[in-house]
Amino acid sequence: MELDELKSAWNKISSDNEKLLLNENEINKLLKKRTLDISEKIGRNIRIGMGIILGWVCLGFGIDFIFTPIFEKHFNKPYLTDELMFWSFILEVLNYVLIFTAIIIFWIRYSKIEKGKIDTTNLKDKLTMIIKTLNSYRIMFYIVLFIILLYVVASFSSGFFMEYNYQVKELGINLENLSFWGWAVIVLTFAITLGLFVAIYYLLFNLFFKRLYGRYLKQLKSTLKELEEVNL
Amino acid sequence: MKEAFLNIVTKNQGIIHKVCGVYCDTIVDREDLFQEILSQLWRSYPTFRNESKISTWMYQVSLNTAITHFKKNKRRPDRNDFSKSFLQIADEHYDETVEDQLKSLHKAIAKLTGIEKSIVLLYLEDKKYEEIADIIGITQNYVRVKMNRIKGKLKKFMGEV
Repeated sequence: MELDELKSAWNKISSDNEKLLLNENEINKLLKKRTLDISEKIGRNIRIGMGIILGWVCLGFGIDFIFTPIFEKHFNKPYLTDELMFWSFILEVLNYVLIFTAIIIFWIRYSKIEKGKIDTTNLKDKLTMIIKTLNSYRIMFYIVLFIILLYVVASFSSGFFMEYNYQVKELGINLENLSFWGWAVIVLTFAITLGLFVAIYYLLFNLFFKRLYGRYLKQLKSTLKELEEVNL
Repeated sequence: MKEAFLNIVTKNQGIIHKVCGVYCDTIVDREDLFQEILSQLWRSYPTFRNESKISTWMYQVSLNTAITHFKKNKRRPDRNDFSKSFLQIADEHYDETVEDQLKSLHKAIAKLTGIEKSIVLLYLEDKKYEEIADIIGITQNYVRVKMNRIKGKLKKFMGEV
């Protein structure tokens, strides 16, 4: 059957039937339950994300500069060697500088998008705005991922190095006489464990974002592309 | 202002129901989208100038909201529930064959892209190409070209159904 022939049938659809019709009061009630639109929802998620990053920074700061000294005092010996302390400290400082720079850059970018008022009757503007917001959200996601990976690598390496020092100094084990295969096992264990940590974190974050907004972002981009082709 | 808005929306709510009907598969989705469209209309109402028709403005906001609507990944109830209620033909016009054809049309429309859905909905609503172009923000010529492609697609999809 041709589409034109279906026009009259379409008009018979009882979209005005009583089941669907709402009165003014019901519409007013729905309005009062006003939901957040997608940009507002993403905005809220971004603010929560920023809060989590700041919480992470505070926690790290607390562990490094409050709990560790208490721990050292309690056990009456330095937990970390001076040498390890130095490069671990440099890594931590670098990590915090990175996080703060990322937060500032991200916030400037996000504020620019949020301030730009759009005309809701213009589909192209609306699509562009949501895509920009989602991309910002994705960038923040990857910044968080990068920071966590850096943290994992730094913590794991320092732990591994500490264990090495402990074996050598405390237990009097002479690792210098270790055979080639002995070293190979140590290096491989280090590389595989670190690789696994990094891969798990990366996969989890990636999967989380893709499950959350991946398909939606793809769909919006393809709609925008279609709209742009239309207007060529 | 709110009173005037409620009055307009109540009188023209058929537009929102039809948009939700074309873009949603389930009752839960339809309710979500209905509420989101309502919010967007309310937000957009202060900027609405009487330069365009109320129906044009309502279609613009409703279709833009539907096209950009974010569907949560949640378990969905029976897909048929919604099409049954949406495609119900008023008793005085009831015809089983027509209802079947509408159901297959609805299934075919569901396979179109967001923009194609909006064009076909406005076409079925008997809007002129000029008005369709105005609502979607594309040229009249392209509406014509796109409509021909959509007709071909729908014919194919309805054949499959």
